[in-house]
Amino acid sequence: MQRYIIRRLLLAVPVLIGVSFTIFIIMRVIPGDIALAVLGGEGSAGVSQEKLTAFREQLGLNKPVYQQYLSWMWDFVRLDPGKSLQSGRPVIAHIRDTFPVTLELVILSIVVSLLIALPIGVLSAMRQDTWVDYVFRVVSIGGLAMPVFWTGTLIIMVLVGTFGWLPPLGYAGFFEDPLVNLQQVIWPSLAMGYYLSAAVSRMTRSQMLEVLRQDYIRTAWSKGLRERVIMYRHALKNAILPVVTLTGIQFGVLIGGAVLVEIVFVLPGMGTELIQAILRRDYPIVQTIVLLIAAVYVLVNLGVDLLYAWLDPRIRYT
Amino acid sequence: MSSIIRQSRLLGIVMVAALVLAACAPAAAPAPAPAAPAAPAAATATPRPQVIPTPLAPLVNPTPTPARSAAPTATPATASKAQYGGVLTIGHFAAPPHFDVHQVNTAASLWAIGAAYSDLLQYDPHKNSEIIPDLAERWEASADAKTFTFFLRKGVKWHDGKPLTADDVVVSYNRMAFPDKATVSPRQSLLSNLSKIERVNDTTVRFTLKDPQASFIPAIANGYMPIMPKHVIEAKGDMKNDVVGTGPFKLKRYQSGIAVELEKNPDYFVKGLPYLDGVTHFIVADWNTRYAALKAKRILMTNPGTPGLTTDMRVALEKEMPDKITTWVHVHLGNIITEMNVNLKPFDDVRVRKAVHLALDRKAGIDVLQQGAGLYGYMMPPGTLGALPQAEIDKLPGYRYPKDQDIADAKKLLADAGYPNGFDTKLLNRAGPTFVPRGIFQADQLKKIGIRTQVDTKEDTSFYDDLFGKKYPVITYGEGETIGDPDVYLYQYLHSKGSKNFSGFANAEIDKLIEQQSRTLDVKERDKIAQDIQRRLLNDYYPIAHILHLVGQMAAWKDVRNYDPPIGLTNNLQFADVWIAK
Repeated sequence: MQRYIIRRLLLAVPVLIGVSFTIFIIMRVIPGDIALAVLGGEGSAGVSQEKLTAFREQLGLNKPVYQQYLSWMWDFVRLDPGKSLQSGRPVIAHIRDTFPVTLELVILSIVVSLLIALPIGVLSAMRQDTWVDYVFRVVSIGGLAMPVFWTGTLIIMVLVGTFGWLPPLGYAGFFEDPLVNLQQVIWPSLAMGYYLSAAVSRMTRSQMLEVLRQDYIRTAWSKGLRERVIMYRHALKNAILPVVTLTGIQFGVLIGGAVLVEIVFVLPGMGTELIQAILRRDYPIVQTIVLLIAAVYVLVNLGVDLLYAWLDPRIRYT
Repeated sequence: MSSIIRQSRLLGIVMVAALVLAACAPAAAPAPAPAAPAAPAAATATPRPQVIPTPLAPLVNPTPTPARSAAPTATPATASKAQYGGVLTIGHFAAPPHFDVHQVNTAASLWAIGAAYSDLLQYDPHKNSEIIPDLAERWEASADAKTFTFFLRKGVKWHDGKPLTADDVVVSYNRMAFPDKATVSPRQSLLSNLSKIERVNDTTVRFTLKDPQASFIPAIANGYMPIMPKHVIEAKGDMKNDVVGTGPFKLKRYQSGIAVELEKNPDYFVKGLPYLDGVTHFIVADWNTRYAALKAKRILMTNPGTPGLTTDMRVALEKEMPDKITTWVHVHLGNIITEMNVNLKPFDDVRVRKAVHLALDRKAGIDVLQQGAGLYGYMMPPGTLGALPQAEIDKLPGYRYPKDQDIADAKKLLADAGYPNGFDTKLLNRAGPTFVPRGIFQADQLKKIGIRTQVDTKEDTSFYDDLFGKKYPVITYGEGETIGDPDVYLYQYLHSKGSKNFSGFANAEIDKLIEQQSRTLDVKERDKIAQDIQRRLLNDYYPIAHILHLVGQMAAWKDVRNYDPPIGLTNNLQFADVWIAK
């Protein structure tokens, strides 16, 4: 198992190099002058050509692309991804401020999603083609059909309209003020969790239906085991593997893709930071965040594979 | 089996109940307006009452003499009722890119830390058309109006305890007027007439202009001209991550992407002020969330200007909470215009440009783009110096109603220019919920005269790239300006060297008139020249088709006292004499 983990981590290196090169090239190919974006923006009218040229030289944009890439990678390997072109703050500071917010939101959303989706998926499969199944399928499709930012706005409307209340603005870390933190994070987690639960519950249902038709399940019924034991100990455990894969993929997507919920619920997360950095052509931040997302994907995939081995003793890695 | 059945039924009932509850959101709380307005409807949409704020008195353009004395430091008439304490919370529309106000051109930065800084002069926060002292307690001008001497208040301290001196003023203005290689100054064109700034003594500074400039005093009174500390600029190179000012509040904490927290400056140079313990700007980018936060009293006030409220939101607040919330509509000094590239076919033909000008329905624009809240005119905002009288505007081609005559004339002009069946063109527009509808509206308007417009909507970086490259035959543009003065609206957009002259319009006679009005100190004469320039443009040239002047809409809980909305977006940022009723 250890060799397997080491091998997977080593295989991640070429993946990350490929991602870094891709994002590096993309940021330089997309239209828009980085110097104008950083120096001017809405005040671009006041920027002279000399200043723009000087700024491009300062950034090294006049050097060959491969030199720029190698220079950046060398700094990155030394854990110095540079400073924001806009604010001048270290990129590490931007990541430190935003990554924990997104991580907490994603973890809570996944938990909410599983709490909703697993029981729904199991019960839907058990009561296939009954009114229970139909209700749960409508609820699932609702989660898929409703954009998450719309659900979030709806939650805010209900909170304000019905209770005249909104979570405190700003953001307090969990260890700073757990009560305020939970008030702020639970609502976006509900919105996002509901959205995620749709696919998970559908996957759970279809996997459960397949497993419930297996001979060993019939044998378990024949033995007189209780329904709860059959469903959760025998059937779900065998049906859960694709669900774990799906959840892992969702985790990776959300790390960089929770921006809409972050905006609606005023959470200063990494998704918002990434979008703003792309619009401002703030290369160092974009490149670092994308690499971080890729690294999270790799680690989550590894975690999913290891979880497979725990859930299914037949799976062993060498 | 039975327990599972009970559980499943219960879960199903809960799900159905949740759906029903969500569907039955209380009718008493109507949905806030969506952030992105729907595609513009035809001009026959249900008319909304046109909300026009009280016309401005012409902005003060003081003659150089005699010397103006410091306003008394006594607190305003309501001072006897003013209460100390409390934190004013404001919903801020965007995170500031950085804090160096000299180098930035976005209100995202200026509004967040405006209360931490002082200018030499300021617009009176309660009588927006008057200019009063700030750091300078008085000023004098020479007889030829080329030399201005400012006498600074004594004993003023920076937030870090160091004393303010004339050197700080000199460094600040040199930075803005004569920036070095490392500094970008969006205000450089506003100060292009400045020849030099000198320190006379510790508390006296002298500005020497190349030519007399009537707008000099209004220009330096706008909020984008704060005085910044020499010792910090020299030590750090810039002020992007430092906020050290002399304003009524100082920076307590900045949480990136979350909030800018300012706390009371106990050493503020106006004794007895500020009343507030602090001002906190919560960064809330989403319109609906800002609106909800105001209703739930998580914030006490919105931003001014177009990031404040939409018309629907303002009207809803006036209907639902008139006893709790005050709303305002105020002059924004921003505009929406169409600039046509006079060097690219077919807009190099003045007949085509005039046809575009005739086709645009300004009242429909106000209704569709601003939900009934806006003003129309030509380059100068109504009520400002040089604005054409509304009675005159309403009779001009392009502004006549009904529009039938204008449309017929426009079609004839296109036919005469060789385009009897219209033509295809591309329009450059900026991305974002505020800007997207403008391009759609213009395309819809031009369709009436046969011009088929492809709207290219681009996010900011690409937009500015194409804008400065002057690659497009027609663009839709508009910004909030610093002061409502012809030196801003006429020079920037219509002088051949104007920084926002994206049409490429260059006319020696118009240039000369623009320069002449800038040097004319007599207000009436200057007003006359500025109007004359616009009449000539509307008779002969048409490089710009003006659509509308924006108004800002904002609101605050009635607990917030002694606040008046600004004219424009760069003033009334300090909240020095604002207080909160307990």
